Amino acid sequence: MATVTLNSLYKNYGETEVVHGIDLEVGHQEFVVLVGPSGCGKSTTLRMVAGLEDITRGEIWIDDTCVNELEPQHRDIAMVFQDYALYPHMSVFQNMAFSLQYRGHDKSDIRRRVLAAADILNISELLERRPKQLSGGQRQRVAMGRAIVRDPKVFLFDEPLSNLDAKLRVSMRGEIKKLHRRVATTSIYVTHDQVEAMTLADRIVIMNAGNIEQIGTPDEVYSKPASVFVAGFVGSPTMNLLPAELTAADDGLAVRLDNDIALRIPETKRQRYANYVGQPVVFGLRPENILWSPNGAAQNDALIRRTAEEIEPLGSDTLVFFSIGGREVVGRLPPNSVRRIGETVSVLPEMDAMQLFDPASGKAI
Amino acid sequence: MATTTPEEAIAGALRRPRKPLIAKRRHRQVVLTYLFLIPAATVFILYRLIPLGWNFVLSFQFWSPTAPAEFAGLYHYEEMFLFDDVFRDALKNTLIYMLTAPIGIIMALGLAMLVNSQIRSRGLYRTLIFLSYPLMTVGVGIIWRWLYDEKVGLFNFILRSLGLIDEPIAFLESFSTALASVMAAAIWQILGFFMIILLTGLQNIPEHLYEAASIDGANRWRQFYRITLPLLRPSIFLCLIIGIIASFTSFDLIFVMTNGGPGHATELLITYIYRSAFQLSQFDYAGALTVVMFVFFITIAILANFVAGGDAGKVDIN
Ligand SMILES: Nc1ncnc2c1ncn2[C@@H]1O[C@H](COP(=O)(O)OP(=O)(O)OP(=O)(O)O)[C@@H](O)[C@H]1O
Ligand SMILES: [Mg+2]
Repeated sequence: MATVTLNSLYKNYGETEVVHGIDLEVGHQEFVVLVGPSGCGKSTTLRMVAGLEDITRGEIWIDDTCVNELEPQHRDIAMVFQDYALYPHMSVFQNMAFSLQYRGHDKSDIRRRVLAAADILNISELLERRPKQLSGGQRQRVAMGRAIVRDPKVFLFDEPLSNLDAKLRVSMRGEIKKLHRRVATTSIYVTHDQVEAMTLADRIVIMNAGNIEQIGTPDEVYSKPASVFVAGFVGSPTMNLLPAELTAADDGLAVRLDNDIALRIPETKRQRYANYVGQPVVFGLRPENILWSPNGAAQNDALIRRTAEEIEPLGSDTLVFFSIGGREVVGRLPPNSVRRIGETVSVLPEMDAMQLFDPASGKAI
Repeated sequence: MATTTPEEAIAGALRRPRKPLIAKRRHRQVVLTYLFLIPAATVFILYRLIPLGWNFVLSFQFWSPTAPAEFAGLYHYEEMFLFDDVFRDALKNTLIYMLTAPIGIIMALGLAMLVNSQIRSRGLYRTLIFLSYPLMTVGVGIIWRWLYDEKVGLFNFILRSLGLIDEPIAFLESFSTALASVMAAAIWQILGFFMIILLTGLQNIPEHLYEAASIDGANRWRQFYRITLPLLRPSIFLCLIIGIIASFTSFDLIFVMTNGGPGHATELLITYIYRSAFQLSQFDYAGALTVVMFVFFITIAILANFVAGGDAGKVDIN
């Protein structure tokens, strides 16, 4: 069993507070990804778990031990660094054996464990090489090997893939996922790449400026973003966000986006939004919830007709940009639905997937 | 009209506009290399190789500026190894004096690690420690002669004020302390230089390695032993070789501080060579001494570089 618990964790560098009281529980064998923009405190948080940074306030528990005052070597964790931090003067074998030497394993046991880990990671042929004789991807594997030989309670990863080129990054991502399935160990993984986060995580922790914005499964953070920040961070392209006003329509509620656009809110959501009538809101809709309807009936008052201002064909579908109320909106439309800039697009917003946010707090309504 | 194949077309497109002076690229590089070497090599040959060769020739002859040369065979070498007590003293002293290098390196490593840590005003300490290096050796000698002085020296003053001694110590005039006293000055002078080299080496070791090692379970001492020392090895051996060269050629310091005395207590090979040649006018014998010193010296340098794995001075992480 290995769980990690953060209890209102704070971090100050001198006068500046960079982590503002984080609470998080990582379950046994769970793979949790911390994601957020640069400088939001992901690495700092991870390094506090590792014991490389002092904790200003709050507690970190691994299982039922408070590790605040424990040195890194006594926390039974392993960490994979962004630049791998392989020992340049040691062979791959020695790099992987290093941690075992200080934990009372005898020679044959060390050998057995290193060979087994090397086998899992496909680096058995490289054991005699020095790190500088390895490619980036191979170094990455060695760094992971160094972590798994010890069979620690927790793996910590700090942007382990960001030094690799795009293609390798995708394949290593797959391997990490496979590895976790095979050597199921509680893991905390830091990245600023939301695609990496979505593909790897059991649960995603979205951080912003030293706070947690949302914790949830990839599916939850994608379809039910807790705040404007999360909505604008997850997804590629991210959710369309428009200032709007909630109005009472003749037989229900509607969001008014622009002078000529008032979209009716589906009945299932009326209850939730009822208190906001007459107030400004932020309207959110993902690009794939904007449906292409070239033959949409003109009398359908939900139909939006705009001029395509930009097109980005992606092969499987085409991103079409147009504007509503002076704001840019993007729709993920079928390929070849719009061929030229300047053509008119007719789309229908899929209102069942819409989100509303409170413009003052940024939180979802 | 003749048709051209694609290969010919490509070759034509790539053809150089002008034929270079030397057709082969590899030859061009060799020539260029030697061209750059000429100035340094000229100086080296004129002032190092030729005198050394001349020394070698001289060491097998009876020669003085006034008398014609005469073949002497191994006469001077026999004299040196079998009968010359001063030579033996000088050789022994030189060997002892060489210890300034390792002692200095150990001290400098300690200092480098101190000023590399998070202590306050480390920049100031760095500068202070390094300051000794650019001082002229003659200046260092004069300063330290004063520090050691029997009547007005600082060391004696301090020791007496603290009541540690009753009689002043004649540091530079007594047989038992003279060599050690000069070595202390030599170490002080080169310490700053060692420290800068080692500090550079230390700063080239990425912090992440220590973090990884501490997570891997290595305590401070093991981190030093398994990470710092091995990664610092090239810098340490660079210091060692430079330190040994410095101790071999430490003529000016000895000359100013003790002039080899008392007796021959601080006589090194280099001062003895000088004395033989320019005070006793035994140029032939000095030549033989020089040859011996050279062989001795080269052996140690090769040995040191060999132990360093042939990469002394290399700074290379990853
Ligand atoms: N040693 C330090 N001293 C002072 N401030 C620091 C220190 N280390 C980090 N910070 C600050 O703490 C904040 C969080 O840094 P952190 O490294 O955790 O960001 P991050 O989320 O990992 O970003 P990135 O994606 O760029 O790695 C940043 O604003 C940074 O400037
Ligand atoms: Mg970071």
